[in-house]
Amino acid sequence: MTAQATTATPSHTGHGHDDADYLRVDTSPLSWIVTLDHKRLGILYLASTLTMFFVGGVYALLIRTELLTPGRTIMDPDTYNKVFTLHGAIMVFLFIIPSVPAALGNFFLPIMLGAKDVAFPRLNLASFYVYVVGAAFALFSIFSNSVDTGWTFYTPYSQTTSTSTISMTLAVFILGFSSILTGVNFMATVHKLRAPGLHWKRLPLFVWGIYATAVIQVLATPVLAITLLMLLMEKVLSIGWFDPRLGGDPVLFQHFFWFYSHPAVYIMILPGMAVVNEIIATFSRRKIFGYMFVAMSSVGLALLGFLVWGHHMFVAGMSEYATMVFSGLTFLVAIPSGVKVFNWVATLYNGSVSFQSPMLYALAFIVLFTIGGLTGLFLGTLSVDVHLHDTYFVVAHFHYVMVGGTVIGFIGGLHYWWPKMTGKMFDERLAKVAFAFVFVGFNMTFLTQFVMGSQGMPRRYYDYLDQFQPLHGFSSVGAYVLGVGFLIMLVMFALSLFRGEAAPPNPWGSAGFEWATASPPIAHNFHHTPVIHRGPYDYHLATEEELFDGFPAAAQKTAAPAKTAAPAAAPDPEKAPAKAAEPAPPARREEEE
Amino acid sequence: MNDQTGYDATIQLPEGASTLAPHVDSLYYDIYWISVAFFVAIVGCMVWFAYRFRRKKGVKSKPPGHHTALELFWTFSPLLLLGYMFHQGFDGFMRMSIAPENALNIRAEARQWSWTFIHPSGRTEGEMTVPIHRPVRVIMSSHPRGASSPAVLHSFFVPALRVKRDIVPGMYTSLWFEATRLGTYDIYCAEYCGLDPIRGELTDAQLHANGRPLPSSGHSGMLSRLHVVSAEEWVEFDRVGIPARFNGDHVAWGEEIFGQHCTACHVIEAGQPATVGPNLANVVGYDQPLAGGGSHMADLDYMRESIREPGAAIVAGFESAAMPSFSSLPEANIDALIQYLASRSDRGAEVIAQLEASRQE
Repeated sequence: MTAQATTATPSHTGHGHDDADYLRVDTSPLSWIVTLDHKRLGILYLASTLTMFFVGGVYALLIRTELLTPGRTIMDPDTYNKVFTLHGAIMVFLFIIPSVPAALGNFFLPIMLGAKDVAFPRLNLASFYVYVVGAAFALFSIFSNSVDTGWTFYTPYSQTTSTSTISMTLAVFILGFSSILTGVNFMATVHKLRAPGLHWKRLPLFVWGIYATAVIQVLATPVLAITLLMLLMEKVLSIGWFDPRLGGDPVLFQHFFWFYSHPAVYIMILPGMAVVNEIIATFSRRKIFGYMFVAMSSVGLALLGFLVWGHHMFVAGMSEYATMVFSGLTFLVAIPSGVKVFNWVATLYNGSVSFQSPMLYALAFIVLFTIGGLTGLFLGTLSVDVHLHDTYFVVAHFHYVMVGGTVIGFIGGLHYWWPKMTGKMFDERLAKVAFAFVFVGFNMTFLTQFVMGSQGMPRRYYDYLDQFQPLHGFSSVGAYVLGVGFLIMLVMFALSLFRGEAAPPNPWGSAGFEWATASPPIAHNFHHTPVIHRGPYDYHLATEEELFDGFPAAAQKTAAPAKTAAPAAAPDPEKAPAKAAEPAPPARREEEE
Repeated sequence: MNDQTGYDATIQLPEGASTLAPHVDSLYYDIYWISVAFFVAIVGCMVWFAYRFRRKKGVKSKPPGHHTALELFWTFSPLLLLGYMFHQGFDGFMRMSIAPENALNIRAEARQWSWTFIHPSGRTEGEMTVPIHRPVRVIMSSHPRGASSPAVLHSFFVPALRVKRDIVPGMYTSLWFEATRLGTYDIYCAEYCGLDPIRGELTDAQLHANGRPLPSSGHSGMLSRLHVVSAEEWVEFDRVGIPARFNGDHVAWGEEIFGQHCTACHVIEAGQPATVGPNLANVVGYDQPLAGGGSHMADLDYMRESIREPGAAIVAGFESAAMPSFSSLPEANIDALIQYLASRSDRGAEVIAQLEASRQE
């Protein structure tokens, strides 16, 4: 039992209500509304962001349906402009930015640190309600002002159609404020609440990624507040910042917008990478190759993310020398991104790789993010960008990084941690079917768009020249395949919630600290603050049986409720097909004797 | 003199019709093959490792050791390739940025959702005509569509030339190119420029015709064409008057001008409801009820005035339409436009006769 020494000395005294898991400790609606439990807040964020993902996804399908044929297919140009604006704004600000950090991060960051909760649980609750207010504000201003400006709100068009720029910037700022609060909270938690023995070189890479994200959130969001203030000053006091009629410069707005929104791209991708680290380590039973290089590459990306906003404006009329500097800095982003990909691939080498659904998503992440990253090289190269800028090539590149990267990472993480969060297993076969649809559909949709873009099809077009119809049509069909994939996934998770078998504490056999507690975790995560004696990926410190069957959670020994412990001990072929042939967890058997 | 050095489209890139295209394309393919090599290496290794080290009963994973040299190698060696791309890209970008001294200057005015190109001769057209093998500098500015609407961002994009530049209200921006191939190429607006939200219900034919989106669809309809002509044709074209391609058909020229400047707000189909401005079918030669009472016969003088100074005598019911002035159009263009409008009116014969007569003088 030396190897699983992730937790404190077992105590055989009873713990009464402590034994109840976080979902059942109090089931009244009020207990959810005012909960201070980071796990419940994580679930609340998860429910809200997934709802937003659904809405944004419906808009995506509307866009692709309209583009199925030239001319009018299902809607007017006016409606189309609103729909693509809604798709972008909802997906970016209401779904992707909070998806991994706020939902999965809230749930797992404290558990991975061996903490009872985040540093400031009340602040955490406040941050959720700030998000709700921001989301309500965004949806209200989108619908009441019928914003048709694109999610970038470029002036002067955005200032003339309605007052949307100000109200939308305000909404984004409120949402950003929620990010700041969460970010500050996470930073304090990582610094102050690590369990004894969990020094920085033992931090799970998920924590490193979320930590780097938190730093960006705290530093970048205030710029949005400045932009908002300037827009207000222009509107109310007629101080000409952005409006040429007042002597302002529209390009200045683009600088301000991207000074926030470019770092926001890294707020979106870093957590996706962070999830992938955990999945790859678990399913190849190996410590992430070049651990410190991977951890530092997150920090490097966070810093570089602040210096490359100008690459959105290579053809906007900046000075040639400014474009040169931004192009050079943009190429540097390739270095930490490459380091991550190389190390993930190297992690598989000499590993013991299994292919359950979370791992499929992690491997898909590597493939899709590599395409997303490599196509970034075309866009960072100045003379080539002149041709590709504002075409579907950019749309495809962005979706490969944001969907192929972050969303796939998020979905992979959702599969990976679903048993821990809900205490239920899901139908692995159905999950793999959904994966196949998502992977094929995604590539059909967006590989096509690279070709369309390099052929010169501009983005944000309601209608197009007839010559682009075959490519647009194929892309739309791909989007339906992708949609079907997500629908199957929805059914799969719903079936799991209502009919899923109880999950063992460590269904994937991971060495990560979050698996050392019950599934679902008890309200206080651990009965005792664990003492950490090894890193989260030190599979070589475990016995052979444990490598195949997972680490028994030492914390469970004392007080695990029978309902979670019992199924875990029983060999169950459905639970994890790759392990079906293997014997039941021997370590746990010992305990029961 | 008229040797064509351009080339056809490939699967990835459109036809190349400018001196910049070979540079952009060769760099594009360099990056493409570098990307393919990296993709195959990364995904190949991933698939190979995942298969080779798939989980087997009784086989443990091996813990990674220290591989600092390997880490440093793949951290810093890509800098060489990145440096190459960066240098080549910047080099080409500087070439794109500095126009030759002897370039022909053509002004491009962008407004929601049409283009106006003004040649040094004063000739104004909605589609752009340039000579082959001569550097052309396009000096671009953004203009309001009407008195109540502001100028917004646009972007001038010709895929066949590999050029693009944003057009920013309140400043002039420019780009240059030298066409290397005769032919007609598409001009796009690449920066989202919106739509008129007060537009009424549109028929399918008002959105898309002849395989192209129309200006009524907003941003996506802000299209035009670039005609690259031979040196001889250019001499003929540079003469002020009707472009040679119309063979003296002023109605056809007027129809093109109408398509470029007027269809964003006007329809010209008898029986169709008016959109932003009046339906212009059967207007010439008819009495027009004016805002503020009275009426005026739509004769030649009235039509000229309504195009140059739309606010002078507004037709009743369209007081808030705020049509912009088109006084920057040369007289010949305005007359061709009026001749087209007259041809779409069953009482237009007299005005057509007047116009024909004025050209004889």
